[in-house]
Amino acid sequence: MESDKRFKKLVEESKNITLFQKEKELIRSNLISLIKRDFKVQEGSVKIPYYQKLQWLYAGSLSVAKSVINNSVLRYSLSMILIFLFLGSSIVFGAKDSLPGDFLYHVKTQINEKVLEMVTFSGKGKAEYSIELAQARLEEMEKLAVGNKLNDQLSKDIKDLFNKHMSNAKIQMSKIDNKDSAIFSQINTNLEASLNAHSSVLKKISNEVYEGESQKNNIKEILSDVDNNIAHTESERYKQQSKLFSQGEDALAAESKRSFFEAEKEIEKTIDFIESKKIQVSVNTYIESKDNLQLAENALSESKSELDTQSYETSFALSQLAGRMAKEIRISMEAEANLKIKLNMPTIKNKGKDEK
Amino acid sequence: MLDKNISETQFLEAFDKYSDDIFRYCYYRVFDRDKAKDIMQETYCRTWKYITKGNKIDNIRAFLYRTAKNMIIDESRKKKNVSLEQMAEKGFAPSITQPEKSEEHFMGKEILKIVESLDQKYKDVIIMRYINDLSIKEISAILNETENNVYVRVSRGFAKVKEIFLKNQSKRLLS
Repeated sequence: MESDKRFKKLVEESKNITLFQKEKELIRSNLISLIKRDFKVQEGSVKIPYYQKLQWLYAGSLSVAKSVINNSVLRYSLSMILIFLFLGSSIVFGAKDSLPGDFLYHVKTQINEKVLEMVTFSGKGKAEYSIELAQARLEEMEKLAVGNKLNDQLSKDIKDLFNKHMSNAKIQMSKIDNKDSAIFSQINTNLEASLNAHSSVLKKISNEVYEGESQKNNIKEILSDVDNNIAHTESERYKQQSKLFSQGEDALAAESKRSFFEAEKEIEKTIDFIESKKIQVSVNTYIESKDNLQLAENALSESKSELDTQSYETSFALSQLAGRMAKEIRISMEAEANLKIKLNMPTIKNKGKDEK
Repeated sequence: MLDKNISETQFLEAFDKYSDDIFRYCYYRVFDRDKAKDIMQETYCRTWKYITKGNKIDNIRAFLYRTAKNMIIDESRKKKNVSLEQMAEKGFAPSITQPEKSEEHFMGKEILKIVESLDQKYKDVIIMRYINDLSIKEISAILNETENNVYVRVSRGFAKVKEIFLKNQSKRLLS
């Protein structure tokens, strides 16, 4: 009898082997990514594996190389092209860090950036590249203002370019929105975080660093464009959230979990980032960054509690907020490291639950 | 797009419902938590690929078990499973999610030892019947065998399990 009891206990014990909740969630989110990826492949974008592309490229290059070696006219022409390319690439490379007003700035905006734009094919890539350029214009304005070099003409040029990039980004994003709202949300979130961070950098420069009245007005003008764009990204975010919240419980649950893991990654990235920039920023900024990160972590932990109680809408809004906060901290710290000025770090707003 | 007889939602439901069972089945077949986790994940990936190619699955639970079973067989062909003794030498201890009192921990190991010492033909049915609580009908669908055959194997396998268990008991009492 005793051995029967023991045997039954042993069998029951064997059933205790299960996955840990976190492991299960991770595998589930991997499967969701797989499902999403398959959808895209089935919708027509059949991709050629990179090694096949390389084979094709290799075969083509080999036949061209053989014909060049066997022909003296071609050899001479190729040498001239290489010399031209070498000189050209030096100019193109030199233009990379130029600022408005510099001799090479037009090479940067009219050649470098346009060439890169031409070789970006996907809608997502084009949208992200336009956003990258818009951010680059804001960074240029920040650098000029701190260096006391911002005049009316340069300010107008930057503002026009910024608005042009933003309008290109919006066109591409609206195309994406019709096809894949998850990618749209991701791009929109990154854009919102970046604009918020640059808005606080510009405000700080306008209020404390720069003293000339007309230049202050120039910064204020672009700030008003930046703030309008922030309002636009916010309203797009609300629209996306309403769309998501009106979908079924399963889709919402999956998206909330995905958003939670994304935010977790952003926070982890920011922890390392803060430490890596520690010596490049002031002590106050370092402490403020850590405090703000703590707030982002609190938001994430609240998001987790909401997720556990299946309040997916609140959980989603909170994890999105945590992710954006983490990104904003990185952008602001990067700006201070580049400009060597002390900035107000973005502060978390307790609006996660209201964001529904 | 190819028609799928199992939707994304149904597939994810199957994950929520059966992933622990598939994991447990893999665990008692390979005796390695990480490997069991990988096989379980790959089982679901392969199943989803099969669905997206337009193939029909009547019983997803049975299909998942079959896929896991085939993967374990492939795995053992590639590399012969390490015995419990070898794992103990390497410092391996089976992990159990419940609080591990020494007695319970010992028993967790004991069931692993018993399963390992069973003949190959009994391992699957014993794990499925007694550890994963599958019915004879379900096991027969997974193994693609008649219910009678499965029933006979379960009965014989169970008798073997008890025999090994009692032998171990008496050894322990004598030592």
